[in-house]
Amino acid sequence: MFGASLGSLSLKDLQPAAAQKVEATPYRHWEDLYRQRWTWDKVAWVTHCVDCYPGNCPYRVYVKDGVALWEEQAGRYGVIEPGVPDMNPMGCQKGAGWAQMLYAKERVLYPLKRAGERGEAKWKRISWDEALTEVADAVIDAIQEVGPESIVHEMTGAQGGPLALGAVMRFIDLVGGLSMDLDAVVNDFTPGMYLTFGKIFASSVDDWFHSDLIYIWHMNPAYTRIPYYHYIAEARYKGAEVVTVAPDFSPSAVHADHHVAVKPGTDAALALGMCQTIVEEKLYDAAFMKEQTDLPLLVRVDNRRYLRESDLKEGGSEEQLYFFDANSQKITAAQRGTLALDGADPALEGSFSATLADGRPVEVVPVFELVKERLQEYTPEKASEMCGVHPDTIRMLARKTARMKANILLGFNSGKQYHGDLQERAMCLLLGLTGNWGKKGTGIRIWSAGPWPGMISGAKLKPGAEGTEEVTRMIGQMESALRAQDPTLSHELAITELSTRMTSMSQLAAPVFFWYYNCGYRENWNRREWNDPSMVRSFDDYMEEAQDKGWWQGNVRPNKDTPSRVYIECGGDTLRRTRGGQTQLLKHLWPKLNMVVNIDWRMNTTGLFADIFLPCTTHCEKINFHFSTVHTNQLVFNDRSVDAPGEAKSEPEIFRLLCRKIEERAKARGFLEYRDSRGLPKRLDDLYDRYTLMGEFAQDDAMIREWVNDGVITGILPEGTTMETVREKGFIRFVDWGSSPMAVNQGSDLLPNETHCPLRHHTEKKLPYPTLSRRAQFYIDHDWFLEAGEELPLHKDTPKMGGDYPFVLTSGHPRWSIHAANMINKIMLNTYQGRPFVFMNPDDARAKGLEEGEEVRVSNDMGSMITHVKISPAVRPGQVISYNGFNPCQFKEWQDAANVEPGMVKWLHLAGGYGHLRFRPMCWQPVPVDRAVRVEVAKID
Amino acid sequence: MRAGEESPTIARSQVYRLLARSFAFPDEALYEDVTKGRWQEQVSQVLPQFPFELAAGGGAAVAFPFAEFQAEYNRLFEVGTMGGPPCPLFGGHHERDRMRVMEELIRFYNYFGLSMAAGQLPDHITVELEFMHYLTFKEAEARQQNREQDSYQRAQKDFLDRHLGKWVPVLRQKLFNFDPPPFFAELVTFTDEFVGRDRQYLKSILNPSPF
Ligand code: SF4
Repeated sequence: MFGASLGSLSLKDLQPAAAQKVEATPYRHWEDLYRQRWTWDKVAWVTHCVDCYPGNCPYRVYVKDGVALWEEQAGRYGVIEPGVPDMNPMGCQKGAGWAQMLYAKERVLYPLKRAGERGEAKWKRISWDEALTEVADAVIDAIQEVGPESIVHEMTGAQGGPLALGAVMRFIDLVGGLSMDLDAVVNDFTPGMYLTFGKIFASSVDDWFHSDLIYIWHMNPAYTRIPYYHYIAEARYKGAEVVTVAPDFSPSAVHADHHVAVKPGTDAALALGMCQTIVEEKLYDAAFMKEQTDLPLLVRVDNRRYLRESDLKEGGSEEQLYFFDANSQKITAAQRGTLALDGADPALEGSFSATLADGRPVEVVPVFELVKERLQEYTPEKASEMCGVHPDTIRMLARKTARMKANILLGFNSGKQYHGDLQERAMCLLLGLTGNWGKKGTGIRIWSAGPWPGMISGAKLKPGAEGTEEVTRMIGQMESALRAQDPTLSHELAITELSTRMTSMSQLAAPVFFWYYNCGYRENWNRREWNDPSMVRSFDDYMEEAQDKGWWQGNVRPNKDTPSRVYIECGGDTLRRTRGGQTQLLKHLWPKLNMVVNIDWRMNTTGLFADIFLPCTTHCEKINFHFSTVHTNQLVFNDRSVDAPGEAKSEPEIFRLLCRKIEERAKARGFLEYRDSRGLPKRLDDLYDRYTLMGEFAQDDAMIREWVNDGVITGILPEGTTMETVREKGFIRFVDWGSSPMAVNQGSDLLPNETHCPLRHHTEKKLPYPTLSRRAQFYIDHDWFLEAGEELPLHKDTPKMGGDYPFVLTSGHPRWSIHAANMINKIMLNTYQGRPFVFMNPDDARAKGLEEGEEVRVSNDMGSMITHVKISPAVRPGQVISYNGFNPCQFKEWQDAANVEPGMVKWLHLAGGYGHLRFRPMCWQPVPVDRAVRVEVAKID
Repeated sequence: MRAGEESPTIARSQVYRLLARSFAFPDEALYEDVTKGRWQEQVSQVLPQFPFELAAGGGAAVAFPFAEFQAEYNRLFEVGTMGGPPCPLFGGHHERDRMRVMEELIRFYNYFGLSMAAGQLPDHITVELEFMHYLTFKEAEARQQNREQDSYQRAQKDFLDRHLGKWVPVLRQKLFNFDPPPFFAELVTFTDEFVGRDRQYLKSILNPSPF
C-alpha cells in the first residue's frame, strides 16, 4: 500500500465535481473560498413537519453541495380578508435553526441492534436487511403467540409529519395491530369543550384580530404561538383588551391589559363567578341562550334527568328533549334537525308540570333555573375565596364579557388538569350566557385538524382517480343512508356519526386500556386519595361497569388477555412523554415486550431502551406536508432538497421494506393467514402489494402526488392544483373542508376571503350541534355525572395527586423547543440556561434556603427528579413551574418531570352510552393529566 | 524542494489516506490489519520519510473480539447514549456552529473541484483526512510535473489551521475521559501528533502570504 512512488489518487468520501478552480485561480488565502458566498446549488420550500401544530410556516432552504446550510422565513402568504393583517412572516426561532437538527450530534445514521442490556447503550451496527428480519420475525411471533393486537404503536405527530404517521398507521392497519389515539397519547384534550359542543374546533388565527376582548386562558402564546402572536398585539392596537388568566405572571401576561392571577386549578370558580354576575345583573343574551343552548331544556325535578319523550310515552325516544314554549304555554319538543325556533319562545325560567306516560305529574324546570341555583354558590365574593381573584375584578370582567366580542384563546393546559373538564365547561357557560360564539372574533378555540387530502388516499383500494371516486362515492352513500334513517341529521352530524362508527372498524384505539392492562396504571388510578372524593367506587368498578354496559364495545383494545409484545415507536419518545414515564413503563410494559423498535432520526430515551433502532430521514430529506390545521387552512409543502447522510430512510420506505420482509419471512415460516380480533381474515403473503396498492405507492413522491390529486378531486384544493404547482408555490390554501370529520366539525363554511370563525352554521344557518340535546349542552344527566354532582359545571379542588405535598407543579410548553425536539439543539441551548430548571417564588425559595441556580430534588410518592431552581417573583407562592420538553438525558439520574406525574385519569371520562359521550378519537376518552401534581422541593446537601 | 524530492509529501499523503480509512466504521479488513500488526507495519515503514520526527502509534493490539471492536466504535464515536456520542468524529460538533464549519468545508472542497460522496457530510474526520490526502497528492503531482505547488501547500496549512488541526486535539482530550480501547486511543493520539507536526511543518516552509 505504501511506497516511494506517488501512485494513484484514492478517493472514497470525496469525488471529483466541478472543474477545478485552483488550476485557473490559485489558492492564496481562505478568504478566496467566500468570493461566491451567496450562490446556492438549490433553494427549496421547506417547513417543519413536527408537532408545533399549528405551525405551517413556509420556509426557504438554501442548499450547497447536498447540505442544507440555512433556512429563512418565506413571508409569502397573501391577505385573506381585506382589512385583516396577513400571516407573514410565519416562523419561530426553532424553525430558523431547524436545519441544525439535520446535523445534530444525537443523529443516528445506521440501523442498530442492541448489543447489551436494554438501556445499556451498547450497539451493533447492522444492515437494513438484518434489522428488518429481526423486526419481521418479532411481528410474526407476536401474531402467532398472542394475536395482532399485541403489536402496538402510539401515534404521535412529533417528528415525521403526516408522511410518517400515514406510513406506520397503514402498516398497523394491515397487520391488525393497534394505533393508539394521537391526542390521547400526547394528552391534548379538551373534555369540557367536547362535553359542551360534542366536538372540538378552532378559529383561524387571523380571526383573533376581530375580537374586542381576548382571554389568554390556559395558554401562553408569547412562548407557544410565536408565528401568530402578532394577531393579539394587532387586535390590541385596534382597541381590543387582553386578559391573561394564569396563576403566574406568565410571559403572555406581560403584554396583557389585565393579569388575573387565579390559584392553580380554580379557573372554574372564576368563570362561574363571572357567570353569577352576568345572571345577577341580567346581562345575559337570552335570545342566544334559547336558540343555541340547552338552557331552556326541561329537567325533571324528581330525578334530575332531562324530560325525555320516553318519559312521556311508551317507547318514546331517549334523545327527544323539551322546552316550555312561553307563546303557546305548552311543553314543546325541541327540534332535533334545526335550532330555528319557528315562532316558539322557549322559557328560560319558571317551573312547569309535565304528565308522564303513566299519568303522574312531574315538576320540570329549565336548565337555566338549575344554573341559577348553582351560581348562588359562586357570587364573586364566594368565587374569590376559591380562586383568589378579587370580587371587583370578577365583576369587571363579567361586565366586559357581556358587552364585548369576547374570545377565549384556550390552550391544551386545561385538559391536562384533573378537573379541566369542569373548568372548560364553566368557560363555555360564560360564553353561552353572553352570546359569544359563532360570530367573528368570538368563541373559544383549541386545536383542530384541517382538511386533509391524505384521508381519502389512505382509504383507497385502487390508485388514481378511480380509487378516489370509489371512496368518495362510498362515503356519500353511507352519509345518505344515515340521513335517510334519521332525517334530522345535518351533513356535519352524519359525518360525525360515520367517523365514530368507522373508528370501531379501524385499528385506532383508545390507549386507556393499554395503560390500564399493560402499563401498570391501574394501581394509581385506583388510589382514592389521588382521585376526587366523588369517585365513590373503585376505579376498577367504573371500568367494569363501562365495559359491562357496552359503552366501549369494539373498542376495548387491547383487552385484559392481550399482553403487548411488539412496540413500535415512530417519531415520538414514549419514555420521555408518557406521564409516569420510565418509572411506569420500564417496570410494567417493557418486560412484556419481545421487541421494541424505535424509528427516529436521533437517539432518544425510547431508542436507548429499544432492541432495534431504525434511522429515518427528517425534514429537508423527505418530501412531506405539514399537518393541516384550521388555524391557517394552508397545505404547506416540504420538499426533499438534500439526501440523508448515512443510511437513513424515510418512514414509508422503512415500512415498505418491512412489509416485504414480513412477506418473505411469513412464507419461509409457512405462516400466511390468521384472523384479527374481530375475526376478520388477514394475510401476510401479499402484504407489500396491499401496502403499496399494487406497487403504485412504491415511492414517497407517488404518494404525495396522489394526495395532491385526491385533494383536487375531492374539492379541498383548488382546481388545477398539481404537484408542480405545489412545488413552485410552497403552499396552497384549501377551498373546502372535504369529509374530514374534524374539519367538518368547524361548523362554518371555509370562505376564500374571510377569516375562519367556527360554529357559524349553528348561529347563522341554525344547524344542530353533535350533542345528545343537539344544542350546546351544559347539563349532562349521565348517571355518573349526576352521582359526581357534575351534571352542571362547578369548581372542585384538584386532588392531591402524587401525595400530600406542599407545592403544586404546573407546566407548559417551553419557548425553546417544540416538545423535546429542539431542546438540545445547540443553538437553542444557548438561548436558555441549557439545562433543566424549575421556577419558584422567592419567598418559597428563601423558606427552603435555596439560592438561584441551586440544585434541588423535586419529589413525591411517584418518584423524583434533580433539577435547578430559578427564582422568580412571577411565580406565585406554592407553585413550581417545570416547562415541558427537557430530555431525560439533561437530568442527573436521567429522571425528568414525568417521573413525578402519576398519570391520573378522571374516571368520568369512561362514561358512554349517552349521546355524544362515546369513544371519539381526539375528543372523548380518559386521558392522563399532569398539571397540579403535588410535590416537595428540597435542597440537596 | 525540487522535483524528484517529493517522497516526504508522498509519505504524508499516504498517511492521510491511511488515517482516513482507519477512522471509518471498522470492517473486518481493518480489524485484521490491526490484530495482525499490518497496520502498525505500514506506519512504521513510512515514518522515516516524514519531513519531521514522529513516534509510531496506533499499534496496540486489539484485545477483544471484532463485535466488541465495533461496539466500542459506536459507543465512543457514533451513537453513545442520548444526546449523541461523547467523541463524535464530525469536526463541527466540537465547534460552536457546525453549520458554518460545514459551509467552509464545502467551499474548500468545491474550490479544489471536489464534492462529497453520497451519504457523507463534509466535517467527518474521514472526509477531512481524505481532503488532506488529496491536497498532498496534488502537491506531489504538481512537483513531479514542475507545476505550481503553492496553492496546495497554502490550502493544506489553512485547512489544518481552521479545521483538522483545530478540533483533533479536542477530540483527543475528550476521548481519554471515556476509557477508550488501546487501538482507538492510539489512533487518535497518533493522528493528533501527526496533524500537529504537519501543521508546524507547513508553517515552517510557507512564506507569509503576500496577500
Ligand atoms: S417550528 Fe413550527 S412554528 Fe416554528 S417555524 Fe417551524 S413550522 Fe413554524
